[in-house]
This record gives sequence, C-alpha cells and structure tokens, in this order.
Amino acid sequence: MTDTTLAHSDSHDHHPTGLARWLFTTNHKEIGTLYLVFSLVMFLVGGAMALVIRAELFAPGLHLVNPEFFNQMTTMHALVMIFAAVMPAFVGLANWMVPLMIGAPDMALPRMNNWSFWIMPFAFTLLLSTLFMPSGGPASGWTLYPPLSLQGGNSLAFVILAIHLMGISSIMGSINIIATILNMRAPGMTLLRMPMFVWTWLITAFLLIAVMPVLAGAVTMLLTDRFFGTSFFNAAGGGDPVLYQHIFWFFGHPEVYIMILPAFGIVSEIIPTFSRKKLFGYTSMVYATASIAFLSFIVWAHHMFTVGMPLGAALFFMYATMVIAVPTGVKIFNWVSTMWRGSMTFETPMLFALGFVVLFTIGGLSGVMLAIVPADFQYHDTYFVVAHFHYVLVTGAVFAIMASVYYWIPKWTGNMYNETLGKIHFWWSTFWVNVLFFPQHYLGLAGMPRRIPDYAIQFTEFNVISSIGGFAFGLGQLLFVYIVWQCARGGQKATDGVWEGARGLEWTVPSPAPLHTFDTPPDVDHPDYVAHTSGTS
Amino acid sequence: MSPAGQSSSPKRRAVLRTAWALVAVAFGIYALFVGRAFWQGGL
Ligand code: HEM
Ligand SMILES: [Cu+2]
Repeated sequence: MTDTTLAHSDSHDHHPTGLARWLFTTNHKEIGTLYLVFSLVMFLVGGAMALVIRAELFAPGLHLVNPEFFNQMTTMHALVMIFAAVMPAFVGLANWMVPLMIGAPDMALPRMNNWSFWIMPFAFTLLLSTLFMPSGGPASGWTLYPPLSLQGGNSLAFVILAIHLMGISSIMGSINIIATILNMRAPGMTLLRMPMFVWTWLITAFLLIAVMPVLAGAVTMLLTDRFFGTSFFNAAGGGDPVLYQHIFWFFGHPEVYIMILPAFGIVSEIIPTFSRKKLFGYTSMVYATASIAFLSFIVWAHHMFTVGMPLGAALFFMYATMVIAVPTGVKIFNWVSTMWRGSMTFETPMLFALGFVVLFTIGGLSGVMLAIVPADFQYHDTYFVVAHFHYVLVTGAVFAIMASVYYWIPKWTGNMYNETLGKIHFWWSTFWVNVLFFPQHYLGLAGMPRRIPDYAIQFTEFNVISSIGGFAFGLGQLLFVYIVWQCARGGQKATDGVWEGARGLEWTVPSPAPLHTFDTPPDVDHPDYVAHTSGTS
Repeated sequence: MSPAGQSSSPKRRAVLRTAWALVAVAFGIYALFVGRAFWQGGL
C-alpha cells in the first residue's frame, strides 16, 4: 500500500484554514469545489451579458446600449460561457468524481492540479478587464475572425493572452485526467469496467490536448498579424483570412464535442440509477463516444460552407457531419433502452437527464438540417444557428451539469437538497428555456441575422417572446443558486448510497465524502464492490 | 517536481512518463501549426 500515498504527499498532516487552504490545496475534492464555484459565478456573469443582449432585442429600435457594446456582449457572453462556465464545470466534476469512481486516492499530479485551477481566475479577470479598457472588449464574435477582429483596439492583446492562459489550464487539466485514469485505477478496475463518465472524460481530455494547441496557434498568428506586422490572414500581404477559419474550426468543432461528451457521460450515470437497471449497451457507448471524437476532426468545414469550397469538399464535409448522427443515435437508443421496463423514479437529477435526452435531440436534428449544404446557405449566420447551438449547449451541456449537481451534491455536502425546489427549478427552466430558444428557429428561417443589435419590425413578435423567456429562465437560475447554497449549509442527512439504484465506487464512501478516500485502494473484485461496478462485468 | 523520496516509485514514474508524453504532444501540435507557419515565411 505504500504507493497510495504518492499522490497527496504534502496535504496529509497539516491543514491550513481560510484563504491559504484554498490557495494552496492539492486535494482533488477541494479543487473540484473551486472549479464548480468559479463556474457558477461565471454562469451568472455570462448570464447577465445574455440579458443585456435580450433586453436590447426586446423590441426594434431600442437603444439601451450602443451597438459597439452590444457586439462586445455577444462576444464576451460566448467566451465566458464556453471557457469559464461550461468547461470548468466539467473539469470540476472530473476532479471530484474521477478519483472516487476509479478508486484512486487523488489526481495523479495534485500540485499541477492546483495550478490548473488558479490560472483560471487570473485569465478571466484579464479577459473581463478588457471591457473597461479605452478600446473596449473584443467585439468580433467569439470566433475572432480576421479581418474584423484585427480592426479593434489594443485590448485584443489581452484577450489573446487570456485565451492562452485558459488553454494552458485546460491542457494541464487534461494531462492530469489522462495520467490519473491510465495510472491510478484500483486493482481490478479494468478500462472496460470504468463508469461511462470516466470514459467520456478520458476521450474528452485527448480531444482537448489535440485541439487547444491549435486554438493557441490561431490566436498567436492573430497576435502577430495585429501587432508584429505578419500577414498570415491579411490578403494585402499575401495571406488568407479563410486560412484562419480553417484553423479555428479545426479547433472549434472538436471543442463543441468537448462540451458535450462529459454531458453524455453524466446522463449515462444518472439514467441507470433512476431506472434501477444497468446501462444498456455499455460497450457500444464506449465505441460510440470514441467514434464521435474521431469524426469531430473531419467535419470542421461545415461551419464555413458559405465561404465557398470545391463541390467535392462540400459533399465530403456534409456527409461526414451527417455520419456523426449515427453514433449519437446509438447513444440515444441506449438511454431509451436503459429506461425500457426499468422501475423508474423521477427525482430532480433524472428529470434533468430526461430533459437532456429530449431537448438535446432537438438540437441534434437542427444540426443535421444545418449540415445540408444548400440549406445552410440559407440558414448560415441566422438565428437558426443560434437556436441550434443553444439547444445543444443549454438544454444539452448545461442541463447535464445541473443534473450532475443534483445527483452528486448529497455526496459532496452530506445533505439532501430540497427536492420540491429542485423539481420547481427543473420545470421552470424547461418551460422557459423553450420559450427562449424555440422561437429563434423561426426568426432564423425568416432571415434574421445573428449578432445584430437591431432588426426589422417583422421579427418583433418572436423576439419579444424570446426575451421574456430569457428573463424568466435567468430568474429561475437564482433559485438554483439558492438550492445549492441551502444544501451546502444543512438539511436532511444523506446516506452513503444516497440513491436506491446508484452503483459505483463513489457511493461506497461516506457522505459527505471525507477529504481523503481510497488511501488503500478498494479491491474491485470483492463482493462488496462488484455490485458497484458498471461496465461489462 | 515530485516530492522527495517519491520519484522512485514505479507508479510515480509511470504518471510522469504519461504526463511528459502528453506535454510533448501538445507542444508538437502547437509547433506544427504555428512554428511551421513562421518557418515558411510568415514573417
Ligand atoms: C448531430 C450533431 C450536430 C450537427 C449535425 C451539427 C451541425 C452544425 C452545423 C452544420 C453548424 C454550422 C451552422 C452554420 O454556421 O451555418 C453548427 C453550428 C454550431 N454547433 Fe452544431 N451540430 C451538431 C451538434 C452540436 C453539438 C453537440 C454542439 C455543442 C454541444 C454544437 C454546437 C454548435 C455551435 C456552438 C455552433 C455555432 C458555432 C458558431 O458559428 O458560433 N453542435 N452545427
Ligand atoms: Cu461543428
């Protein structure tokens, strides 16, 4: 057992309190909590920006903020939500749950773990500070397409530094997750016995390591084009702005899967628990996840059909994109089959997981519509695209994050959350999120462009509905903050197993999970644990 | 780096080998995209 102490050597005996505890912690649970709290704060910041957007679009002709600031809001909303809210939430969940699920005492590289987190608040303070600089924040959309992104102020340099820092944090986090999963599994925890959440994160971490350096390369070239006289993307100097789009989306499409694969993992944990059955088709889930990850590298140009490309290329990217619907369909089939004839109950985590399955699928279907080249010529850069990616990201990624918080918070805090309030939060969110985003499909089909601060009067009604939905949905998330806060402070004590149908090593440790767990690796083949391992055996 | 007395553990060495290999991959990809571009005359 001597080697089990390797991962958290210096955090065992002395325990600093107060700020020092959080600044210097190398404990995976504390770092997980830091990530989750950071993410929640950034959700509120990004949400406030979204409400500025929806307020401006409430009616035509409003001039609540000036157009330049509106553009900064659409850009910053996306950057904050993607890089500071959704991604850190998943990393926080990985920190908390991956060691618990594979029977490891901590992450493999605990000190690097501390760095991975603490880079983030600095990176995003830097990013947000650009809003207060004389030239304002970035306003060219989160994709930072040149030439537009090169025509703003000097604050671009800070934005690029923030993106680099955030990328370094993500890469370090991914290295840690891969090193942990490959080297720290308890004896008997073979790869094909790992919980699906661990599998999806393993694959996501490889995606991150493959594409974050590509994003870094793209923004480095933007930096030198803007400040050091290069012409990578400058046609006048012999460069090509379309080159940027290719590089960006070679990062960008895998990035959208980075934001959904861990969500698939979460849903694959929750549905079996509340159906009281094993996950249907575990092995096919693993292969489907790997196929989606592989395919995500060969579809990038579906984001740029309208810039023009050879017919053969357009056809290739169209069909490659549609092929992703196959492994995705396998997953949806497996979730439904897991529920089939299960004894289902509908606690809040399950409600959010079911909401995910239904509403994410709507986003997947609009995605297939967008993949059809001639149709995309019509839909591209309209609100139809906005509707598509908000279904996959809000009712997809964010709903899965909500589901996971309700599912695991009793293990984190030792208390049950308030189930009645949780259900109200679910139904409130589900109703209003559809009021918010469904009309945007119609706006897009009718031709309303995205990223504009004002619009023609024929778009009024759907915009009014959408804005009302936005404000109501936003309000509902304050209830979520309250529920989490209340649960952290007290409440009905949680049992160790928490949920009747829950399986997995994380449920064999006490609630709340003590700071140190699995210092002695569990024997996964022991009868006490066998019932708790998912997977093939 | 690794705390004193632990770098000898085989598990620790496996962890570090994995980590450094991944660092090399990340830098390699960055170099492929940006280093090569500079080399070929972006400047
Ligand atoms: C069935 C799977 C999917 C298909 C076929 C698909 C297809 C597409 C296509 C063709 C576009 C480009 C539309 C345009 O700009 O004209 C697009 C945009 C987008 N998709 Fe998907 N998608 C799928 C799933 C997802 C998922 C799972 C996510 C994220 C969780 C996602 C996030 C996005 C985002 C963020 C954009 C907009 C990017 C931007 O221009 O800012 N998609 N999708
Ligand atoms: Cu894409």
